[in-house]
Amino acid sequence: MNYDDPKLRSILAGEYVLGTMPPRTRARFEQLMRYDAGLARLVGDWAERFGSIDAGAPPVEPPPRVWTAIEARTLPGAMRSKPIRFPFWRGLALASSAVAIALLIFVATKTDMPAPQPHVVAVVTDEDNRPCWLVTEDKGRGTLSVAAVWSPTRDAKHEFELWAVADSKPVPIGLIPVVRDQIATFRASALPKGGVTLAVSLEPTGGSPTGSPTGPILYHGVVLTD
Amino acid sequence: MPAGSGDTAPDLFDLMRHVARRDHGAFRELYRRTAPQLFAVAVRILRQKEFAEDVLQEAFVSIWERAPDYDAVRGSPMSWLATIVRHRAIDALRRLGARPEGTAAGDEALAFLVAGSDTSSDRGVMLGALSRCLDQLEPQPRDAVVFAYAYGYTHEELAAQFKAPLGTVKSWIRRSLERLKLCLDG
Repeated sequence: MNYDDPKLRSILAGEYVLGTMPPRTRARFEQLMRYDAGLARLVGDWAERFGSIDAGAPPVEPPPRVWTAIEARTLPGAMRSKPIRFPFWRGLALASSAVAIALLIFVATKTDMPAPQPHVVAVVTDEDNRPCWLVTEDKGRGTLSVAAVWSPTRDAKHEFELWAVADSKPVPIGLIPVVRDQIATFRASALPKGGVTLAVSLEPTGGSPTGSPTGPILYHGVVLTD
Repeated sequence: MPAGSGDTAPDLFDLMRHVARRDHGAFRELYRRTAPQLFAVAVRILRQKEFAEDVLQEAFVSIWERAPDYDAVRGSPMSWLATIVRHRAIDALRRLGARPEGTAAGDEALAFLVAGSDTSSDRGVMLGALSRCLDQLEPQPRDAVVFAYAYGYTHEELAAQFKAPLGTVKSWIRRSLERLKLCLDG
């Protein structure tokens, strides 16, 4: 194809933006664009012009799980390149949130009975805000307890690992239980101070080998500030 | 690009520069600011939100990887991002082999062109010009261009939609682009 004819260049740029170019032609065109600023400019012009059609359409808020998956694939240390899909989320049956939280607070307080009253620092939920783990802190003992309020599905080759995320940087806290009512205990100092989000990723047995999440981040929680 | 009312373009340029330098916080902000508009683009093409979610995920992973390639010469950040999302959505349609069931593609596409003609913003002015130039085309070539952009119709789908030979549809698109450019540049 002759990429020197100005009229043709503009038409090809337009076809690129419209999306009518077959995939292989499009890939070749993208290669050309890298070294041909004029061609890139023509594409920019068309994208700007046709883009006004998009700007007139009402926005649609995507569900939070989309960002969770993007984050799992792009955060420094994320090794996952395959798309993350969420089939098991779509038919997951859990007890109602209120019942589960009430039960867990009972379990958590009962376990730590002799110590000063532990307080809830976070509820880790799935994408539909259903609680999966309850995180409590016992200031007297300096411990952080993570209790499962459900029994999530996972195969024998994987475990769930809890991370504290501050400034987009995940810090490992540890492996957490997958059987309802089981509790794992960590040092409270594992939790960085200030504006922390919790994330749970699916990792190989024994936890992430790299010190950063290697599997998809499937659950989230926000640390409640005092 | 001049700043219009509520125009966030200068900040998006800034964010793109940070994303190109591997600033994940800026990437999150870029997502927060642009995802609803881009998700709407994917939903419009794919009609089912589940498919559109996968496309948005793929597109943003690719945006993270390709951000260092971004240059203002390639248009505003928003149109650069939208091009990536549209191409991903069109590829997903091709892989599906058929258009998913969903909202019918009717004259709704053309309604965008009228309803969005708000001349108080830069986009509105541009849409006004695009709309005016599209109106100078014959009805079928005009609709073919709008269907291709708004719904990601391939040449083959356009041929079926307009009951016209493939070669005819291809030349409609080319002729339309040629005439649109003359009209928009003029």
